[in-house]
Amino acid sequence: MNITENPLWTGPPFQRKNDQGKVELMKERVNFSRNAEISLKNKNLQRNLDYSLTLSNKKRNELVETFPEWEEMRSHAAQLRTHVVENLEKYLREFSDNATQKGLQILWAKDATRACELIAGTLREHHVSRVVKSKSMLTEEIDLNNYLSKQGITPIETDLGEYIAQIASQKPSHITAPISHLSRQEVASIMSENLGIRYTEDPAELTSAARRILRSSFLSAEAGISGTNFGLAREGSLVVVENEGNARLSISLPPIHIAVMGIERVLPGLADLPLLLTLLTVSATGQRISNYVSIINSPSKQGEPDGPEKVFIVLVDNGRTEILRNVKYRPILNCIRCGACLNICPVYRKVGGHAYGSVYPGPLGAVLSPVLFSRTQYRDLPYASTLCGACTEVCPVKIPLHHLLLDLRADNVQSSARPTVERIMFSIFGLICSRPRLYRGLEKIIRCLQPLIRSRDGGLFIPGWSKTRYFPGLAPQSFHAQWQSEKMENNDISL
Amino acid sequence: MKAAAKISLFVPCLVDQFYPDIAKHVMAVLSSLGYSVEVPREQTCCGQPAFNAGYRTEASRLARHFIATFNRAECIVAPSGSCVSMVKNHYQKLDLARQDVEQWGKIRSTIHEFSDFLIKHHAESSMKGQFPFRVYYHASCHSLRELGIRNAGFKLLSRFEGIELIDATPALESCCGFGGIFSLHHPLLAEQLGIDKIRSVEFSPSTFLVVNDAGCLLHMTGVIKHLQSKIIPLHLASILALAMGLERNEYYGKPTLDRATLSAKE
Amino acid sequence: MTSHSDKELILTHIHEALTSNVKKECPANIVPFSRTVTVQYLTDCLATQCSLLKTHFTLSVTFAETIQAVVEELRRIAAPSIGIFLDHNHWPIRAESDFRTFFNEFEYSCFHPEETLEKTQRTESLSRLDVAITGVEALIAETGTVVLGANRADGRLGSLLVPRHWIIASETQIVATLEDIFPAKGFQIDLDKNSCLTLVSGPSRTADIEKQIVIGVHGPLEVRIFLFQSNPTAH
Repeated sequence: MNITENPLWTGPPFQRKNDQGKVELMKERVNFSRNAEISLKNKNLQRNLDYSLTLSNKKRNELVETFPEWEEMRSHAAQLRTHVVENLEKYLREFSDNATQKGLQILWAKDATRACELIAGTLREHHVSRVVKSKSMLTEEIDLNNYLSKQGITPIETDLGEYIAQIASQKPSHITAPISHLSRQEVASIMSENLGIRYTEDPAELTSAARRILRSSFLSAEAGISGTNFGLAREGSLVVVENEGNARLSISLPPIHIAVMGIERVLPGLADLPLLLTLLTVSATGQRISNYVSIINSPSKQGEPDGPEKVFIVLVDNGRTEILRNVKYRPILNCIRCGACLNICPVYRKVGGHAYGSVYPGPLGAVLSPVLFSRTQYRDLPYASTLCGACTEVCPVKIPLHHLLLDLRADNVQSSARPTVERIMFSIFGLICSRPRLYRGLEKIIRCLQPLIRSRDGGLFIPGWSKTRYFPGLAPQSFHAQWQSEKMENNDISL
Repeated sequence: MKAAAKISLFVPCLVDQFYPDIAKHVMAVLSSLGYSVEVPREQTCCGQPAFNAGYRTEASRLARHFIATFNRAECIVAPSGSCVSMVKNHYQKLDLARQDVEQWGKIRSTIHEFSDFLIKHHAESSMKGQFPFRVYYHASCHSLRELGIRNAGFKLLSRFEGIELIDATPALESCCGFGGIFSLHHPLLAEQLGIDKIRSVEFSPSTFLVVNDAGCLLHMTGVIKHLQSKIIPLHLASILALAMGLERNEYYGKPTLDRATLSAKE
Repeated sequence: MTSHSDKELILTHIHEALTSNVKKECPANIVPFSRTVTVQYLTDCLATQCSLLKTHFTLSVTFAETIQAVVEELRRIAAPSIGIFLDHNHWPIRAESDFRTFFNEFEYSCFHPEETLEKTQRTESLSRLDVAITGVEALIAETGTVVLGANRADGRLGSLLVPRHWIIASETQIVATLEDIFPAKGFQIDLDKNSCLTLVSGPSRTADIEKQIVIGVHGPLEVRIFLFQSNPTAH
């Protein structure tokens, strides 16, 4: 199947190709409803998502069962992360001072542009043109690859999923499983068309081909860019977590390592790592521990046979201090980017990540995208939820995600961002329901008017509902009407 | 609880307007267990639809009204996890006067979701009956997650002779797709989630789909009829009334059970 | 290019955000989480975890027997090129000469902690190896993890570039849990002397394509642990 025929690729205007032919996100309001409809019609996508996410949840649930203390672990981690965020200045200073003392160079970036400038500047300063990159949602957030390619440097994505997305010119659709929206046939097509390898649908063969092809990129790279899962304040160290080995290679082979880190990703110290690491790997991939955990303390030391000569840490704000200002939404800064909320969300599981039109999709994105990027652009996202609460239930750091969505909806009403018709309807609703006699009086009137909106199937016609479901007519008498009639007052509840 | 024995019933708006039989069934069950049930006349709505849509001013109004209506109740029972969750967990976010807040504090501890109330106060022996059918029980997301009521419905239903209950698994705990205004904003998504749920009910296979919230019931019934599925959707209160022999109405009980027997044979 | 101005800007913003608003309820001090779960029978636990991770595991009594096991496996795979990264701290063998009798039928290179090859040269010779035999700082029973330090003979890349990573270690190096390897518990890994500590749990893997687990991506495709039990007899 030709990838470009996938409607999520050519159709929806939430992604488009810029003049360099690179995919970027658009600035207009994301129309989630329309995107969701497109996703629902894409049978391939539905099948891929269902298969992939059912498996993810099964693995995670089975592993969680083996931890009798799981709830205590979550509570402790929630308190720990809240404590860090509430004392963020202290921990960031500590982290920065200790890291600097160890020889790690800290670069502070107030926003995405600055972060990209600093990274590009560092690469230029060291005459770097060949860069390898391991997975980092933050680099997606600041749109680093596009910025660097305009400067003539194209970082090569080395995480298998990100690599496949890169060569297909697609954006990742999940924060830890970037190509969960693709089937093996689609991956096989992408790789054979773009890399000139033999068409095969066997994941082992495809992976082996990627290993072979990317090895030379690693060996010839002049700099490696990685994300950071945690920064340890007391030790001034970085922690990078992965399964494939591409982060270790990006960090240790080239002479320069640049780590990108959100300012909120600090932990007090190494002693807190076991808990957060376990919560992260169990929640993200249903693994007891990920394959590789690298704790980076400094550039290569005297006497060590290898390792980078210079290590830079780019600390990125890009709107996080604004979130900090708004106490209501501070809990979202506790997030450790595990993706468990995406996996469990009934809506995400049906529409996939691209429908959210944001770097951060799913329940995490429904809260983070409006508050971090733009309330207007992402105005639809807080409503992309049934409020079932499954996200809150699985969050390893107990962020009350669905409650934050309710807060965002209330904010929309406050800022008059809702349709007038809806505002009027709810005003009327509030008026009527606070006046019992009026409410009861209107009951009879509405029942007289009911025949006007009868639908063919015998029920009522309700816009938005009746296209897909039957809606029952009102009961001939409401319960209260029956109760208040004499028969009921005598406690004769004849059934 | 026996000592107090007077219950104030809160009737959720969907039950009041669309499914009044559910309220009658709740009353029948509670009466048969020896309680006297009163229905405060002034009650209207807990305010959840407004709150969920972000209209906190309107929701506050309704919350104040609810508190005023129920502030003297000894024990409030509502056949809806979402209404009880609204009162217990979200009223604190609303604009309430100080005395409202105090009264709310008391209401919080006296309001119960119907299945939760029954399981906490009634030993197995007092609720007996027959229900020889296969039942798929779907606990509403609010009762599961906001109120932590995981097994109440199961335990209640398992008391009945002959009943075959489909075991609880994580898949069973997934949302039916109603989500209040969600199903109006995103009808196709809501429909798809509903279809998934109904298909898994059919696959189990079951004759009845029992839910403990009228919102889920509204949505699931809508999907069932649209799919022309043979599944019979019922509220938990109704199935309890049927099983305990409290529902004798020839327009309700007998046809329902006849239909069930027929589809079980197929 | 200085980003110092951004530093103060960001920290000032944080300061303002936190002091001008209501603080969220949280503990004033944080203590590390202490689990009540205990791990017993460390070696058995490690062996079980290894099999879950697809790490091969062999337990021998003496160091000599362990080397014998290694040699047998090398013969079986007919490995053309082997790298031995001497672990002076944990192996009873000190000099390259001690290995000669065992490995003389193979083509092998020895890497010492003290020597420093020029980096590109070293990378090239590492890339040509089929098997890297290293020691470890520690093994963690609960998760099937081995702990590697950058200041060892293998450095960061010795165990990474090769397709097969084999480990020779003493049973006394096994600790129970992740918490046990960090300085707080008194274990001997000095972070200040080590630019990078790596925790390795099994051969590299991915599930990016349709969630099917594929073993062997960018890191090694195979990990084998050869443990020796008793007090090693120096050969």
